[in-house]
Amino acid sequence: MIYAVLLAAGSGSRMKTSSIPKQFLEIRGEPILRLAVDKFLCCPKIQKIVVVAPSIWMSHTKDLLSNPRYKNIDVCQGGQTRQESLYNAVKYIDDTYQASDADIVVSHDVARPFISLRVIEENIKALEKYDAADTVIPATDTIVVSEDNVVISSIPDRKKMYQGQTPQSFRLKSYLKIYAKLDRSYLENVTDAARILSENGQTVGLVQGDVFNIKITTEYDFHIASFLLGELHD
Amino acid sequence: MIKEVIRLVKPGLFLPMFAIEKPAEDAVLVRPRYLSICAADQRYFQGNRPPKVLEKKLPISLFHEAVGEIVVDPLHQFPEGSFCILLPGGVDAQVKASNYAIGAFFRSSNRDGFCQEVLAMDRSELIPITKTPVWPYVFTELMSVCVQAYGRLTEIRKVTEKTSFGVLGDGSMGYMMAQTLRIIFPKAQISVFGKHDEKLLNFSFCTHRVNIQDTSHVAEIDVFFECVGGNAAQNAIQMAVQKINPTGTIILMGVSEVPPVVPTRLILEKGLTLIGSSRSVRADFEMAKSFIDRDEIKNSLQKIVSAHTSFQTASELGDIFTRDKNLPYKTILYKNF
Repeated sequence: MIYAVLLAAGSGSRMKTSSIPKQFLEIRGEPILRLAVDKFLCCPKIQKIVVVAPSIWMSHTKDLLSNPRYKNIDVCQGGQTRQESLYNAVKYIDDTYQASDADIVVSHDVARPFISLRVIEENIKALEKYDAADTVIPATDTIVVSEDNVVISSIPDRKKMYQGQTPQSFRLKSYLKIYAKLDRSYLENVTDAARILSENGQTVGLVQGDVFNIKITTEYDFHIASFLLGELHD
Repeated sequence: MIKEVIRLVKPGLFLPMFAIEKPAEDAVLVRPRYLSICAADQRYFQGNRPPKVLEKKLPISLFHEAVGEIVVDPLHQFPEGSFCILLPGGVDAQVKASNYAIGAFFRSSNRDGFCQEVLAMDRSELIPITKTPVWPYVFTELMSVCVQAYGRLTEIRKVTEKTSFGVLGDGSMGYMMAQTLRIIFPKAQISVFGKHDEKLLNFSFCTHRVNIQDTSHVAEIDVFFECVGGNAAQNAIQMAVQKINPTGTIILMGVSEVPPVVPTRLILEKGLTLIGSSRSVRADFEMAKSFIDRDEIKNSLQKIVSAHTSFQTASELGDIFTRDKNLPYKTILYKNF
């Protein structure tokens, strides 16, 4: 089975002007959450979708997905961090559907509603070759490392630098086994499934992402997304 | 759902754009896969349309010749992963008269074409493909136009195996028109007129292959199909009027931006009938598909393909259009986005 875990559990704290988490804001009358869910519904290879929502927005999320065409979607409760929310969803799948070793999870931030079918498919295909997959685009800006946040420590070779996006995809059972061994302090510092997997013996293949696969995090991103969808503001 | 739509924003420049698709409850979600470049698409790309037309129509997604892959059918009529011919005329294009209505829906003309990541379509806009390979069915639209042209002819005159047909043009449209006539009339006299000896060789199934440099020995022609268009259309029409038998019929199928001069004196003297025919409806598509289903036709379509290619981005598509304009026949594209 191939499961999609759609992460919608963030509080949207970086969107200063709205008290509503960004995934529930609307663009052209459609909530961002639903725009992302709809794209995954277009992937016949994905047999089950699990949406992870913040506890106080659980019923709101279910309301948004109450149309009959969302009948094959489960909503589960998120955790305190992104990592915990992903774990909750994967654990939920394992407990509810008795996952096997071959089962795959394609995890994606719903705040990236511009995800393309190609990228989703290439994630799934990458798992024929690798233990896991991470969606990336080549870094176009020079990356600067500063250990003290004051002066430059180093500037890595840009040709080797990529910007991470989602989806991130992996084998469900492998992820759970690795996660069970990790200590809390490690998990508190790591937000990213690909990092956990690659630092714990998994080969994580790169999938070519898309510059338009933007993450709607700030007001700026929201404006860009609205503009791309033709919702122009004077 | 957000979908990517690659649109031509000005001549020579494609850009990725995005739109929200809100499918009707029973709509079929389709991913256009195989596309072919039509002369009309190429005219937009090259800017060979009047500036006012370009200003009105751009940005627009091109392509009206397409085969799509079924993504989701809520009614399970079309299996996921199967392929369908995509009809460009919308849900209204089920009957002939609708085609020529003012403002009639037509993709890559007054509506976005098929260069889209995915689109919701009514099932009446889909014709399932049951045979392989799938790509030759991208020619169904072109052949459906030929089928309709033949149908328009039969509405005004009787045609039989004894009718002498002439096809003007040795390009893709001429090839499809001649093939359509040969399928309908296996023994009729069909003459093809062109200016490229090499291209004329492809018309082995025609009775006569005539290079227009020398038409002195042309057999009598009762019906001409003009499949030339562009600047050469005028000469083709003039030749047809000169060579056709009295009371003959000329079906005009090629698009010319510059209006050709039509020799009315000779048309009146001979009592000719001129028909304009450029579109098609579902019944035409279905007949065209039944023709392409025949192995000998399907296999032969490679003869009018200059290039098979694939693309993922707007800039790759621009490069393909640039190359295509110098190719003698069609470019078939696999859309990988």
